[in-house]
Amino acid sequence: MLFNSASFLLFLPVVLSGYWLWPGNFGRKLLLVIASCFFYAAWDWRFLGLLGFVIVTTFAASWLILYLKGRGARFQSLVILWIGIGVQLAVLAFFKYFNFFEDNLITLLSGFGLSSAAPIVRILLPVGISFYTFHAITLAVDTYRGKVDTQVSLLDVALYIAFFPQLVAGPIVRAMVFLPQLATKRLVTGEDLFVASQAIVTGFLYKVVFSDSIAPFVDKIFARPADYSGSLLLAATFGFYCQIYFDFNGYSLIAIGVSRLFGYKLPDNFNFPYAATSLGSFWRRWHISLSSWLRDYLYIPLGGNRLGVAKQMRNLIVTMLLGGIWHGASWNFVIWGAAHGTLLAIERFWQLRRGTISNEENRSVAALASGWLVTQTIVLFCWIPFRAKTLADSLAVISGIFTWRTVMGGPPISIPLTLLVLPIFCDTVFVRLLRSQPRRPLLRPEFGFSLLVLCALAIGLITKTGLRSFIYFQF
Amino acid sequence: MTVGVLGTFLLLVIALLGPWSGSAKLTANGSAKLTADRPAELGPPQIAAAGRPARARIILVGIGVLLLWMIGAHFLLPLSLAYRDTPSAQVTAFCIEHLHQSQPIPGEYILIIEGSSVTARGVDGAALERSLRAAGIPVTVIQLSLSGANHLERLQLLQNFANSLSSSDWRRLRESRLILGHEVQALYDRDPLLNYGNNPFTPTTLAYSNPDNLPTLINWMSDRYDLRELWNRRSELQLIATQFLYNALRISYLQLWDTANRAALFAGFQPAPKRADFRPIGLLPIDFPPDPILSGRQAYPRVTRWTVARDAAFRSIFKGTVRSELFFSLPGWLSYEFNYDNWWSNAHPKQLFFNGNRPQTRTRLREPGLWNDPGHLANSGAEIYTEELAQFLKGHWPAQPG
Repeated sequence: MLFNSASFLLFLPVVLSGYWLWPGNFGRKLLLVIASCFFYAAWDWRFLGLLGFVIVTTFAASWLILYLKGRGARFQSLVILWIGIGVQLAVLAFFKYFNFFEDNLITLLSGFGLSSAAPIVRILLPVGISFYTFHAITLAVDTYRGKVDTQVSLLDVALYIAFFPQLVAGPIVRAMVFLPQLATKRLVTGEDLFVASQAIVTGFLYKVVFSDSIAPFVDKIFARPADYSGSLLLAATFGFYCQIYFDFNGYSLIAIGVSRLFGYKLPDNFNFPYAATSLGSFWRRWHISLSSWLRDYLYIPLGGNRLGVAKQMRNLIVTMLLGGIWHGASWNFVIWGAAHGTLLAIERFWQLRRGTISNEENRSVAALASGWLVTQTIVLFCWIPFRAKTLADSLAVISGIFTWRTVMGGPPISIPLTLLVLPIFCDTVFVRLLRSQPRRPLLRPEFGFSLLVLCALAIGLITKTGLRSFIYFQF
Repeated sequence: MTVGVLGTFLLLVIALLGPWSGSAKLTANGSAKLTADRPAELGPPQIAAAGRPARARIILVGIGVLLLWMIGAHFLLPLSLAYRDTPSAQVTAFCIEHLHQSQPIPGEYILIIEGSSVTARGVDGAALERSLRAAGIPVTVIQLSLSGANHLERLQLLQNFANSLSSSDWRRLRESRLILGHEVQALYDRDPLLNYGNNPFTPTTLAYSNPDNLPTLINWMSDRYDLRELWNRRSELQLIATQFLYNALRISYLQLWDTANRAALFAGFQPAPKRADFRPIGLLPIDFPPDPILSGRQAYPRVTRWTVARDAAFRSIFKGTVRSELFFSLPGWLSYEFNYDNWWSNAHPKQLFFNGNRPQTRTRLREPGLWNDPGHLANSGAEIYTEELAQFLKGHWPAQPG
């Protein structure tokens, strides 16, 4: 069930009404777990078993870790932690990467003139598996680290992992952020309602108006990149730069807003990444819940920046490489992650040499402008392998742009310039300015909410027919 | 360009309303602060008890705005503008043009035929009109039939036609003998929701998921289905609810309105060739053994009870100008349709009914080459059927002298 589907328009008010009317916290949480299962089953009910398996194994691991720690058996609890992590990674690897490894093995064998007699097995990718397995790992690790220090009920674990607003594409919520919110009955005030609606309406605007309007142009060119000129390929790359921001940020805002309607607060996932003046700053603003997760659960355990410059560089590259692979089982994502990791390492090395890490915000206007230009150019070109279907397509786009290829008599296509430039510019400049200053709301919540409802209806008015999935649902 | 500018304007309006920060903040060391929801200068958060009435008030205000929008949209944003390039609008445009092209004659008949694909492929309205006129019967045939059209779409089709009539057209209708011709067809008559889920969220389906039709649809469904049957049709009900809501809120209205061209003309008669893959063994049977009598939930009187309300709804569109009704069915290769038509004929002895499955007509249509598929006539078959229908009408409508 997509947030932008008609069925979600019916599903949400029904669940919300039941939740608000239910008097007790336990019943409310149970209702949310059932609703989340229904939400997930709308894609494929067969994967409910897998979701249940992840929940039960996480609950068992978390319970055992706390139990063993309570008895002073720290080593045994560490073993349980690794078993818990191993189980979740095995689930992820099997469902997400089996086909990738199988295809590459076959290619490798055929390179040696060998062919496999075994039948090819295709594994269906369950929606949201990358997100809920990360939630599961988070709970186990946080329990071991003592950040979750009381036994968590199976119901709470189920809700933490399967809570439908964040189930399929995040944000990735820390156990220590979410679990304390389950302890008491959530009260939803009028202010919550206004804040939630503002996030939801903005999310819908990003998704159904901006992202979905840009998508046909981008899809058309990336479908057959060899047929188009360098200028069109550059425009399509810039189109995807805008599309993925509006698409994923839109999804995140809707998820955050919907959660808030139930009284739960989820972390922000974006903070105007296209205003970043360095790659490090970009990753502190883009998909914040994943990048901070990778930092806390991978980069720092690998040694972070504590073991000297060389190992810091290695840790950055490994972290970003794994972050790339997390997005999907394809060489394109490997390249995307490796490119970001390598360039981050180079940037970090440069900053260490110049000693400019700590005073990033005090740089001159010229330094900020050049930093912004370089950073955003890197980000722009790194999106090419992320979007292209194959490595060959990525190369076709890159070579087309850099050789400024001209195509005579190609398919006629016009660049939707206003759509590509105006929304992203206003969002990055004006909306960022409006949001950067703490200020009182312009109107009383009632009037503000009325205006939001009107904005939502106006969005409906200008949106196009046809349902497009969110880009991050494939991960 | 319009979308980009309007969307950006909306973005700025929403941003101006105030900060939406309220989500949990992750700090640099990975810990979280749930208390950092509000800037300190805004004062302490409202206590829950004070927030409760505000929530109810906000919801009521929101619902009020929503209702005002729907009422405003009903008057200011007509759906007919949004769905001008759908088949139903195109058939209407064709029929209106045909009505205007035919000269009014005192005492004329105006025969309005409504139906689905069996009529669209089987009845040649123009040939019927020529044949009746040649016999001295002054008639104008308006063929409002459309492939795949269920009764809700046909209701919309008739409404489109009625709404497109000028005051002089209405005067002509009042002064004529207006006959409303209904198709009798087993599958459609048993199910007002037939085909509803086939093309969800396409202009074709959205065009007749008009909120104005909702009371009529509810009336039909309450006559047709009991609660258990409604539960079994829940996916279609959900689709109906969302598509009607979609139109009530005018979602995508601008896009549809933007791209909708002037309706092209599309005739109600769409002749079909013989299909190569339709190769029956032998000729069309003249007769079929009777089906076991359907009883209980499947009994014809029960499942077609709602058609009384349907006929009344169709008649009411023409504001009392309908003088009488004609019912007609088309032949087919399937026994249940044959038996349904015979049941219908016996169950409605007072209605003027042309049974397309009568032996005389079936005898003329025995050749498989006259058929498009088991349920639809090919062009050559349509010619014969139209002749038969014309003969039937000549026997019932007196010719005008001169």
